[in-house]
Amino acid sequence: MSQADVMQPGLRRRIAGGVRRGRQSSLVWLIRIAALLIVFAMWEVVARNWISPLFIGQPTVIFASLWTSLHTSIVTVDLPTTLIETGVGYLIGSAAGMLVGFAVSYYPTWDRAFQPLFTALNSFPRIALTPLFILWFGIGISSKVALAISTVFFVVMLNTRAGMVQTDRDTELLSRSLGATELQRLTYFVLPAAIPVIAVGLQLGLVYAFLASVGGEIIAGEHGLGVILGYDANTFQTSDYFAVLLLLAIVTTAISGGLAELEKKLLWWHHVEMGGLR
Amino acid sequence: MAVIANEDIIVAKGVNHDVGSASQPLPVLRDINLRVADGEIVAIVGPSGCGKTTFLNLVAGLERLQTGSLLRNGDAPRSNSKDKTGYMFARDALLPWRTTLENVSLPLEIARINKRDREARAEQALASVGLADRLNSYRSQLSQGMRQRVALARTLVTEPRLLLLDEPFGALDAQTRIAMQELLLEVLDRYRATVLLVTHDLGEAITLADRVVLFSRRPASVTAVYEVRLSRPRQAIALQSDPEFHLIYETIWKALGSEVRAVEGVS
Repeated sequence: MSQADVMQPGLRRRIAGGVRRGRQSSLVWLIRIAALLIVFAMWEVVARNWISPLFIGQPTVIFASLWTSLHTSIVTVDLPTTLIETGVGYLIGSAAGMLVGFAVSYYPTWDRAFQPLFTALNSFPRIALTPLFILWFGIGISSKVALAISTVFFVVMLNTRAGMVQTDRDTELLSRSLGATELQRLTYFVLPAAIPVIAVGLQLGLVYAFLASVGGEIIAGEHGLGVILGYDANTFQTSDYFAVLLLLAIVTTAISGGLAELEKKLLWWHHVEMGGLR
Repeated sequence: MAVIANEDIIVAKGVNHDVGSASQPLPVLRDINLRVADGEIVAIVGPSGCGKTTFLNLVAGLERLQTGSLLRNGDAPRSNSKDKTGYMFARDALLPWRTTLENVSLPLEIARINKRDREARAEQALASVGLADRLNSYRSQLSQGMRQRVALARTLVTEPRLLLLDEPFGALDAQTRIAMQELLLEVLDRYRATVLLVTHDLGEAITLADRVVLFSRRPASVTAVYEVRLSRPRQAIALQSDPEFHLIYETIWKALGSEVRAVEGVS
């Protein structure tokens, strides 16, 4: 029996956003679209009359450029390159981050020993490593994957660790009074409570992975949306630049949004529990 | 171990307990002597922070015994022993990702009992606390009183012979607390178990217990033991207006009050 089977209809509605919020959502969308249209219209007017499109682009040209780019190597080569760099870096970084996060939460001595190092490496601006990674791994995909791993790893690791060590005194007492074994303590009490915190790290990690791969590409790369962005900006093709930016925004928003929805589905209990606070 | 009828379930002799560092020990318990007979309901009352919970944790096997002797069912208390002890505390500690039924099944799951049996037993336990219709509810959908009833069902589901209750209704409002005492009395009438209850609520202690044990301020020792000769079955609400109940209350409060006043620094 899956959790969805035993869930009451009322609860499912609450998770879906509530009846009232459901009615409001068409209004919300109307406001969103109207706001976007107004911004683009004003932008167009400003670009036609006061500020040269050389600096700020021009929405009509941007959308035309976006439409054309859909049939070029930007979509067939550069976008996949960026996605692969981000995806591979994200998967390796988050897997390693979770593993190390579990390990240090379980061995406090190691945790204390490595804590200053973790803090130093995490606060270090990782983009500064790009030249080094290019030197080591070349100008292609690998250097961006390495950069993405270096950013994703820490945010996922630190969140995993934070989730695992947040000891609720009551559940700890319950687990001990029920005579739970160490493995049972982890699987029944610690891990389920840690998952929402780990999920935050995983969502942040995705944003960081995109930041790393596109940032790395802008500095140096063969293919990728960052490479195109750098090229367009350097050659003053500002509207083309904005078109790529728009494409990047659509893709990242769709993927992050998808991940957020997935989290909401899997961790619905957490959202219900926090219902009053969000 | 030979099981003798009417053997004392809990036997504490000269139990001392310190907390804090070895260089600066803070004495919590001093020379506690207490016996709890099979089927007896004993309440420990005392000023807050006096060490009542520490004693309960020692009996539960959650704290290591330092000096003195403490036997539970004739053995040193251990939290993972098989002698069926249920522990319930002030906060429900329900797992928010589990339904009511899954929360109540948890102790059986930890004891590796198969799914069908544990669900049947959990349903039964939930029915006994009047929550047969809330099997699939989550913690966030239940009132404080309901949550504590689920916690009671979770404590009863393993059919413990000894119940250790640490301020079980301490987080509830006054009306709900009396309703819960009523429920507990009803459950204990049907389901005979030995109960050691820790509470700061003297009325609760008298309502539920056969004997009230008075702990002094820290370091705690047993200053007095009172027999509560109220007939059973008792009704928590009816007791509120029972003159005998109030007589006992006043007697114990005179002793408890002086300890409380000493702790709080009021005369």
